[in-house]
Amino acid sequence: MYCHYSAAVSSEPGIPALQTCIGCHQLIGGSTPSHQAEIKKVRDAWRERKPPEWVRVHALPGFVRFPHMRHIKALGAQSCATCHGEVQRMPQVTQVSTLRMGWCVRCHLAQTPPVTRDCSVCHY
Amino acid sequence: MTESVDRRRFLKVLGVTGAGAAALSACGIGPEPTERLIPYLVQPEDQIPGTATYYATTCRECAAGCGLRVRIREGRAVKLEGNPDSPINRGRLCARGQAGLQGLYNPDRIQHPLVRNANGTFDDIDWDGAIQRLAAKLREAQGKGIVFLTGAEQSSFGDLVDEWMKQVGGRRLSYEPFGFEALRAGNRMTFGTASLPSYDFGNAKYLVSFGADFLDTWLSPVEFQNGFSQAHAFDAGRPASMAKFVFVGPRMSLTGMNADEWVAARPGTEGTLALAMAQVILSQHLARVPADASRLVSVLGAYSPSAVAQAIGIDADTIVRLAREFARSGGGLAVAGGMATQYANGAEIVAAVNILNYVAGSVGSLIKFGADLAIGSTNTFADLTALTSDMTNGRVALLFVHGTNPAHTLPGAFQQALGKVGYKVSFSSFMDETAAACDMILPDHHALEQWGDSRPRAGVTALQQPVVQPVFDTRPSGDVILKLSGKTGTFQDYLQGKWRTRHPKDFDQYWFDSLEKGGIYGEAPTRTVRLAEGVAKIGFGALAAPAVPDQQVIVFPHPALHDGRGANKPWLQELPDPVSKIAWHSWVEVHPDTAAKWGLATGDFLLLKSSFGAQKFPAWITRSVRPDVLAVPTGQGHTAYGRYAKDRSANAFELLGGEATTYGGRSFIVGATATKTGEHRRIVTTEGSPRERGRGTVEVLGLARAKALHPGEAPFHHEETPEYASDAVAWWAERQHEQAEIGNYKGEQPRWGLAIDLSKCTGCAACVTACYAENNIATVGEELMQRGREMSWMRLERYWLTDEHGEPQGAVNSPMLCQQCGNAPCEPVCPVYAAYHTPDGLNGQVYNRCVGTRYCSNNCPYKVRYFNWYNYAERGGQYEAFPEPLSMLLNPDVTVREKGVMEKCTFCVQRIRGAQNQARLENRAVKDGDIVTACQQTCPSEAIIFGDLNDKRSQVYELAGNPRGYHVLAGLNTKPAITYLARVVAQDTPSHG
Repeated sequence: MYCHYSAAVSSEPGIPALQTCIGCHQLIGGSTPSHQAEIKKVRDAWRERKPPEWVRVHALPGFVRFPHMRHIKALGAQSCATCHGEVQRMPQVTQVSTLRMGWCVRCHLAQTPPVTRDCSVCHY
Repeated sequence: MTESVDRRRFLKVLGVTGAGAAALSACGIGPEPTERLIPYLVQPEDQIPGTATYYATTCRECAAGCGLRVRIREGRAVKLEGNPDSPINRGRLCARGQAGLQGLYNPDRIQHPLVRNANGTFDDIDWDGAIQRLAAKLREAQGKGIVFLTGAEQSSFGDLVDEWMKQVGGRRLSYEPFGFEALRAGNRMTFGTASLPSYDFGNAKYLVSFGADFLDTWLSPVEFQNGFSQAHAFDAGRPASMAKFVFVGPRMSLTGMNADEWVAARPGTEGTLALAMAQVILSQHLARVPADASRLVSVLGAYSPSAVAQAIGIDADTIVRLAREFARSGGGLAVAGGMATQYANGAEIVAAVNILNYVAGSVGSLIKFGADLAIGSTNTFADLTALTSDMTNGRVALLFVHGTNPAHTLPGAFQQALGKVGYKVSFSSFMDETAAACDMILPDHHALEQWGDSRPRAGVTALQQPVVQPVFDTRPSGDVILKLSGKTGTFQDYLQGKWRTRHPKDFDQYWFDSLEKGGIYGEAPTRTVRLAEGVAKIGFGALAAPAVPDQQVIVFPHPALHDGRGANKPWLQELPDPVSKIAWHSWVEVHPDTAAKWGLATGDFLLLKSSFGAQKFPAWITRSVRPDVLAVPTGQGHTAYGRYAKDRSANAFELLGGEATTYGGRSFIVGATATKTGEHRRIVTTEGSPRERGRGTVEVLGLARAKALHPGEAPFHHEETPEYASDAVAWWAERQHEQAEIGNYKGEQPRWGLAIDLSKCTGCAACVTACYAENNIATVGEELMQRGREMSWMRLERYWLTDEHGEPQGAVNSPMLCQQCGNAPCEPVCPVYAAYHTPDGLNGQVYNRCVGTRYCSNNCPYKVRYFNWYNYAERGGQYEAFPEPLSMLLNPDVTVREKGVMEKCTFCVQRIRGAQNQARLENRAVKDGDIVTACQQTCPSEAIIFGDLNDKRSQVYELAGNPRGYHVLAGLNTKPAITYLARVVAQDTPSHG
């Protein structure tokens, strides 16, 4: 996981620092005018030393504790698309799953053997 | 697309009647407000979001110098733990140490330099401007008297100040209000050396404390408590099983409460008792006495038990018995301190106790000179009074104050003297009384924000490093001094320079290793001491009785607030005093006989008037103080020092005089008249009942009975279930469990449990403060605590143990927290399944399901469920518990509860889940010892053990099977997951009322 670097070791996925973005995008300028316009924003931000304010798309309420690393451990490092959709093909990231508790529990129970549905594993 | 309203918001709307069209997001209705995420520009190397980084540093809340490990989350310090590498505290931390976080993020910190203007108020000023101004004042004051006053500061910072003072022709004084002048003078009298030795409590076989509150505030409480726990806890595997502890003093402090026997000697006669014991040992040849002790025979001749018994106020037989027990134990340790060394004859009392130790052979074995304690090198109270008189006579043109608050501890005299000083500069982080009287304030960084070191005892150098970025625009005082002295570089450079001289080769690796360990931990060699020449000439006079109608009033240090420095930390204010269980205000301890004479009830105000000052205190009637003595704690009565400390209760220091005793110390006992003012207040106390009354909440065993226990025995009787309830209790629960399909009932999952050994628990309440810190527990304040709304998930219940005459001999302390019952009364009654039983044996509390019916708390027989009656976390709310920046210390792993939600101990479920996650990442199972609850981690006595009761190899499983083990209120068949191990008292027949 290059960008969201801590997803495999921590509950938090980790927002990449602007330095991470510029690591690739100092060279990768974009192949279409709309790509180039977006990447220019990154370069401008780096030049002005002002990181962008991302709008949060996937947000769970404060009383839920979701451990990313457990899910990546169980489902594999390529499993981001399972919950987040094909992010690499989205022109702008949207939320494709409801992220509601019923959706979580359904997937837990669908595993073999079923994963815990104990309340205190996520709510404490 | 309409956003559906969720259940909690729906209920909130129902509750908001007639509120009109409030802004949608303000009352929580409508779509969630957009969150924005701002990334770093450059990723910090040592931080992984969601995980913690730990740094080693040193605690500076008192002079003991315990090592710290600070848990940092995303650049914020969220929890302090003891550093396991430090030989002083061995990974444990007291309540005051835990509360250090509330000093760092205190809302009343001084945020930038201040300078007094012509109107007498403070103006903001920038650092360069302030230093320039100060440099000019420094030039003016040359040759006219420059003084730098610090607290106990045996450190590189202290060295820097000394060097600077030398450079400018000034001098430094270090002042601690509870300095140990009598100990130093007494040691000089007996052994010819004024240093303070180190004490090996862990290997003692018999302990007598003459006033020394080694579990509260004396010298190095965490270290001594840890050692005491090893010696005094019941261990069936040892020949003597436990060391007996006798406390001699006029009032029972926290230390006194843990005694197996309380000898309430008349104030000032503690030394006489020590000499009488020594006389018995010498004359009856009860120990292998060092050869030069023969000089003492003449001195001790006059102190036979029969000659002195009446003066002390006990039987001669008791003295003989104590002496025999002390000598025959083969490892007797006597310590003098606390109140016993704060009388006018304090030094002589120390000398007497030194003689007792010498005669019993403990000097050189349990008492080691060589590894001397640094607090023994502060200046004395006499030096401070000399300074005060210099100040009053205009001989001090420039005064610097750092890390001490003499305007509070020496009110009147020092305050007035300050007015005569030309220019006064404070480095205080807080607007305390001394800073409020100064002309310029250059706020220092908090100890957690800066570099430093300290040498708490010979051989140990504790290193201090910044663990967070500075919260405000403060500067390390070391930097300021270097700038003023015209030197280049920061204090960090200076500190490293000093360390480099110690180890010039491969310095970088050495420095890195020291930072990781938190310091350099060596053992200083012991040096032998012999009796001094003049020991036979010491005049062991007794303390004069006060003039009639005066009462003897003893001023003792509050265990949490100490000399007042803890009063600005709400965790410490809300912490009930271990002896009186009173919080948020001071009190005066009055014996029931005295109270009856005066027609006094608990809560009635008494005006105490000494020849130095007068203050009024509400009375607390208790048998834990002698009838002819009144006792008041220090710590409250601030006139400045922030919102939690200011204008609260009374300042006991006002009652004391400003004259030094012959040994250079201060007398903390004073004669005062006591008159009822007619006012009354309800005291703020968490005490339910002073006595246990056989209800099954605590069990106590006599030593003989405890030694006779064999495995599998169940010595405790519990209440018979009444007929009408026996079906419900026995039948229903078992049927439920038979049908349980999941989790720990089938042995498939862990069953988390706790074992608490009451023979180790001293009642110090470090666990309570650690729990507040770990679990984001709100402090509710004085008014709500008076109404019983305190939120402490863990409380300490203190029950007096009495002898056959009903006189208290000590107390048993029982930590009471959610018992995580296997058959919990709170679970079936929750209408929304917020209280339920988890597969791994916890009684779960799901905050987002809770609607606040409070039926669970109603049904709980232990009363360990706490309800959020108000919104304690609300910014700007009436009972706001975390005003900015105090909210920075909140633990991000634990939900902050809002109004209407029930909460309780969760066995630190966040730590359990964290360890389980970590184990899964590492492809292994969770092992015993991976999970440590906050209370367990901090307990200096190591009284609490957490683990998996289904793991037969775990420590907690072994302890749960111990014959001393019992469940609280066992007759109710709640099947708690917590096993308490009975307190063992080294008496034959302890009764508890």
